[in-house]
Amino acid sequence: MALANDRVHALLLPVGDRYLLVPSALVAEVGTVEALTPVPLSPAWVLGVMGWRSRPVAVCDVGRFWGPPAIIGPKSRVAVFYPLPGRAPTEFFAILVNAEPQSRTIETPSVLLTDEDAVHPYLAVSLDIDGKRAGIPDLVGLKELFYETAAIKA
Amino acid sequence: MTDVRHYLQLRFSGQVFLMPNLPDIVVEPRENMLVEPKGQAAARRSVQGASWVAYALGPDWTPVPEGPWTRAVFLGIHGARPVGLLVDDLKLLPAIGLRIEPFTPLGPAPVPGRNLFPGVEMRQGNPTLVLAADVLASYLHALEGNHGLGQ
Repeated sequence: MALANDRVHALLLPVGDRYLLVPSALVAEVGTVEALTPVPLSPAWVLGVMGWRSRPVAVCDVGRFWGPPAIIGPKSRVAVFYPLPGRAPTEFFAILVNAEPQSRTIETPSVLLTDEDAVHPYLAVSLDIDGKRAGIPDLVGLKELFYETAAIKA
Repeated sequence: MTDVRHYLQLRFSGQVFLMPNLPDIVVEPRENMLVEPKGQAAARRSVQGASWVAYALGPDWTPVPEGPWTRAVFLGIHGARPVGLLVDDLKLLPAIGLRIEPFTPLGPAPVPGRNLFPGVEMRQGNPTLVLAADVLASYLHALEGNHGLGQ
């Protein structure tokens, strides 16, 4: 089945054993992994908090939801995302990626939906992009994962 | 976050944290504490007939029976049940030299509905988590009853 829309400027983020396809507009910056401060009592997918543009940004390993835990290496990068809809403007978050992302303009003929998305709880759709296994993150699911049981804001 | 003049820099469980130095916090040196031979609490202090318990936390923030702690930081001393955290080292830092930014940890809150780390200090090199004293007290109280807070 082909994706039914036209052109989207996107980033292919290598995460775990596949790529995450995200609109470029969601990503504030991709940078190196700064020193991470552990956040006690956090789930294993929270790697810690780092400083980014003088802000604290939580860094998470979402790749472990569909593969083994990440290992931070010299090629590792963090993709800093703008706050999710409905969250405070300071609530940037970051996803650990294996390497520099690839910039793509995604067009209909190059994208095929696959039927494996049901296996992965935080992928809304699984895709084949030029032979690369990819997925579009389920932002609603991630928002629930991140904040549903977090502190109630005053 | 409460506007305070000083923060306590606490080192325990192999990590450094900051906490606002509030009026209902008191610090006791180890020599004023009675080490507990058994139970979740590692030490206690008798105050006017009452027993204030204090906990040493391991890297996973579960109670540990002993450690290189030098001081007890008691929280909520004007309330009915003060509770203490045992720390390896402690410094008093002026707030004016710090920049505390708001922070929302990701994932389930260790104390349901409340933020244990509502801020991060960004000026002193690596980010340093800022503890909410009242939420920390709730966490420590839950250890006493072993009510299953934490992970």
